[in-house]
Amino acid sequence: MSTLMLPLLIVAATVGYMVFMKKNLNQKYAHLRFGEVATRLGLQVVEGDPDHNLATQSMQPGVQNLSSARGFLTQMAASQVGGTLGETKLQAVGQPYGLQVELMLYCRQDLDPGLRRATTTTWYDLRLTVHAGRALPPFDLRLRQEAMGLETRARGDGPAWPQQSFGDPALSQRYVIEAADPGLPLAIGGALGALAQLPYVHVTSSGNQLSFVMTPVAVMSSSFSFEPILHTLAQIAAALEGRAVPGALASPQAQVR
Amino acid sequence: MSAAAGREPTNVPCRRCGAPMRAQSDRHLDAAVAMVCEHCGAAEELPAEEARRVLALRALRMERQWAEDAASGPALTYLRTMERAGPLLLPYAFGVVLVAATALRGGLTSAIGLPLGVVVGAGLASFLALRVSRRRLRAVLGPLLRAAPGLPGRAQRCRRCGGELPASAAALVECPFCQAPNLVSGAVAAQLASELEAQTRSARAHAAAAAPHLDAAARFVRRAFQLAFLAGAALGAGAARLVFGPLGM
Repeated sequence: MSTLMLPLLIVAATVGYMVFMKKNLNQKYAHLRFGEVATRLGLQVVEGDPDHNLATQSMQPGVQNLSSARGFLTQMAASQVGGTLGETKLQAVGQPYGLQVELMLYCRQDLDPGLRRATTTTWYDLRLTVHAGRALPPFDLRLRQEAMGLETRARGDGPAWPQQSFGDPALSQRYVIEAADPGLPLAIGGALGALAQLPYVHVTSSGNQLSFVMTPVAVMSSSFSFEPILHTLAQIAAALEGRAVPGALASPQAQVR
Repeated sequence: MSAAAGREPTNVPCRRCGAPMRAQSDRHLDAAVAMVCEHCGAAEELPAEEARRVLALRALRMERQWAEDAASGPALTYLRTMERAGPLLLPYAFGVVLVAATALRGGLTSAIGLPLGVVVGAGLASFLALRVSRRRLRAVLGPLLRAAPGLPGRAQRCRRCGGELPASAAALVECPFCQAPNLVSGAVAAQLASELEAQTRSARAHAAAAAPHLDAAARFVRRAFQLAFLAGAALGAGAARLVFGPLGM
């Protein structure tokens, strides 16, 4: 009896300690649960767990599996015979600023154990998207010096656009913008103020969609700033559409440069 | 209209019964400003020009808030984290408990000397690193904390009862005497907007200036803890060898 007691106590204490720390962390970042974030953005959750904490829970099922017994078993099974590690899908939609807005956080991972090495394949669609009233000029905006681990994903297909200048040394030093229209950086430069301190920035425009695109790792750091990010997207969309920019008193005509 | 009259606020009376109307929400995310009569319940939307004034000031106040958070938030969070030793030292305390439990069960043998030395040594060194880091962070990050300036505001009088309105950066200010909301004039709104924008720019400049200091402080703390762990564990192991050596370690 006493032989078993100590190892059991050690295991129980270890598990208890981990649960305590996890609970502590989840309490500290309770405001970053998906449901709470969606509400603050003026969106309604249409799919996924509203209690999923964007700051403490990874979007990657392979990482998320390690925090539950069921996930651990899934991970073990996949590492033996291959297959899916799981899928995380969170979606919220709404009309803040009078615009159609969608927060889509989707990530799926498959594991192929292979003979010599295991290969994990990840599919993801992680973005905060504003649907404008009409097609917007395409562009791609990133940080010039990306933080380690927070690199943006390279744009795959589609035409390559030339790099353009903001005409503002501070903005040009911080961002790289690729666009077909050389006047576009000047039009949206004034809207980028709220992104000034973010460690990860990737804004793209395609068709009538203007998106802040994330990688699975970048979701954690970006989730703290979804409100200013949405505000910036709304401002960019308004500036490109010639509507009243949120936060501007002047008439729309006066803002279009 | 005289220049002074152009700066006066206006009330928003209900078209149906004349009672003051109140904004349904104070959200910067709204696309229109819905007003509800507090007497008869009639709902109306503010006209476009007035709504733009209200929404612009809401958005500018939020932008200012985000900029102030970016200016002082990271330094404050870092300082608060380092002021609490518990979460940083709890793993070592837990390790000591495990080793002590093993010793209670099997007696004080040479086998527990090394783990005990490593855990205690690393724990003590980490505590020392925490004290040094805390002092360094207080010196470096303390001066970076800045008190946010007060919101701009203009003393105005209620258009319904003439009572003095509280200075506020909001577009709709409620009279403390007759509870009627007063909509700020276009001229005053422009002034408020300009002052809010200036405060936002100042906070962003402060945040940009503070960022390199924060990075340097974070690097210092990370290295201090890494070094403390390695040195403490090595010294602890050496000390354990000296103490438990005679027991046949």
